[in-house]
Amino acid sequence: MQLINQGAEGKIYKTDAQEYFDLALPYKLIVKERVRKRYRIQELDKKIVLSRTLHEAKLLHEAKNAGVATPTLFFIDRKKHALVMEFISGERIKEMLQKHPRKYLHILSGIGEMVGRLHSHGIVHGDLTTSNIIIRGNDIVFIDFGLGEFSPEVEKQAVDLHLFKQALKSTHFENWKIYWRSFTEAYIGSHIKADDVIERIKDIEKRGRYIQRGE
Amino acid sequence: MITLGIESTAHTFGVGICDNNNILSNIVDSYGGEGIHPRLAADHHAIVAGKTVSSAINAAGIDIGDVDLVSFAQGPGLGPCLRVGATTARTLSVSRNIPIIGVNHCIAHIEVGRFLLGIKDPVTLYVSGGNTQILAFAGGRYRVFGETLDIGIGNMQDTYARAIGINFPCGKIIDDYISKGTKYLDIPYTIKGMDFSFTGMLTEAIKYAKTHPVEDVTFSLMETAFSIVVEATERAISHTQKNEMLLVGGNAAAPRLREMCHIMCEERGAEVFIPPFDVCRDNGAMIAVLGMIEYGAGRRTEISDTKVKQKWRTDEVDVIWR
Repeated sequence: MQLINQGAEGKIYKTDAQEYFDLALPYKLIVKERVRKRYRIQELDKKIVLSRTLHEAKLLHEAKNAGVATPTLFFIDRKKHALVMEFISGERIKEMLQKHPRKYLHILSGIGEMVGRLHSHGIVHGDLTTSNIIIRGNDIVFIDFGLGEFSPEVEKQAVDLHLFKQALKSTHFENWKIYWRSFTEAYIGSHIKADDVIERIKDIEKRGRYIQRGE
Repeated sequence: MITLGIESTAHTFGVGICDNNNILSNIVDSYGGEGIHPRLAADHHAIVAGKTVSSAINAAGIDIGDVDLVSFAQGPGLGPCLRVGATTARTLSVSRNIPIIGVNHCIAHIEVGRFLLGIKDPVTLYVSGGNTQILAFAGGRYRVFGETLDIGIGNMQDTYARAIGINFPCGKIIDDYISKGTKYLDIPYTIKGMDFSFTGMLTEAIKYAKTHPVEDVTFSLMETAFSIVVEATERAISHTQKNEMLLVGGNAAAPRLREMCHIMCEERGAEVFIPPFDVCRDNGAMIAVLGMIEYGAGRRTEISDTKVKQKWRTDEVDVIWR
């Protein structure tokens, strides 16, 4: 297995079916292993790591029922807190937008539509950033559901969008407004409660202390 | 150049003096009531303003005529409190005929750390009563990568302390309980991306406190709260690919939080910096330092532009000095 990324959550390895399962199948795989965080006490850490692993597995599957592309899950290793998934070969939209800021507005629309579908099915992603969305051919593939949850609540869905807006603002500060517009226009078209959710973002923005997030 | 800085965003009225290389004095006088009443805190500041300025000048071993620039925290903060600092600064500026500059309180926390500790480009975890934010420099500004969705961690801690009968300031007693607690109780762990929320755990802890030993409840509550902010900071470090962390704000004094930051950074191969407590908490020296840096970079504030900005966001300030 080849370590390809050491993120905040854990280690990501690249491997294939031959190496991991000893099966002669033509699949490239990703092993996402959540690592123990020594700064947290063991009881709390164990609880968080296991529940996020199992939760992510469920959400990856349920997102497909909503018509949203996610990596296919092959195996859950409970001992190592690892998910073994399909390797998605493509490019993260973070880099795509940084390289060609104005070329991919249609992708922002596509993302808005997909997030609308997730929310319509009561799935909250929990960590929507441009690092967690990969473009593979014509597919928009969502990864990293570890902080996600099942919830039909307007409040939780609004927080989900608020996080995405904040990610656009901090990482794509030059063009975030047009990205956000393309995103929300498409979101409104694919989620029946979209107007309520977008309205609620304003409340969330007002809550931060001393802070006005209005534009 | 000698700069005098005035801090008055919340509880603390502080005056600090610096020259180009050192902090010469740093005097604070804090309003101590139950919670914070903006009007009463402002009254406190107005009463102590004159003598705090004199103490800072005496402690620095200078004469008031030596001050070349007066800097004040223009925001964000509580309106009545901010106005006392602004008025004090205008008075000094006009009566001594020296320039005035208004600076952002949150950025002052970061820049004093860079000034004293020689840090280059940190991800900053800023923990205090009113603010809990994760900040980092990107594209000419300090951007907010994560922050509380409801109340500041310090506000949460103070509210909890009051509910279990501890008066303000509660930090030392809380730290003592944290070190004595042994049993971890299940507390909601709310993190959303790099944002987080404290009100759910506060409610749960107050409920637990009726039936469980206070040491265990306090330990569980604060262990959870600290884990959350450290996890969010780690995400920001990973996301921005920086390798320095700066911990600032009144709650940076908590030993367990410091320990967690050290462990997290050690595991990532990053380095953690924590300024001495007197410049970590709200204080005037950090305002002096940022005023001096901004003035040196060419920023000027006209007296007509010294109105306070209660909701001044960190990412609205063009960082012309970096």
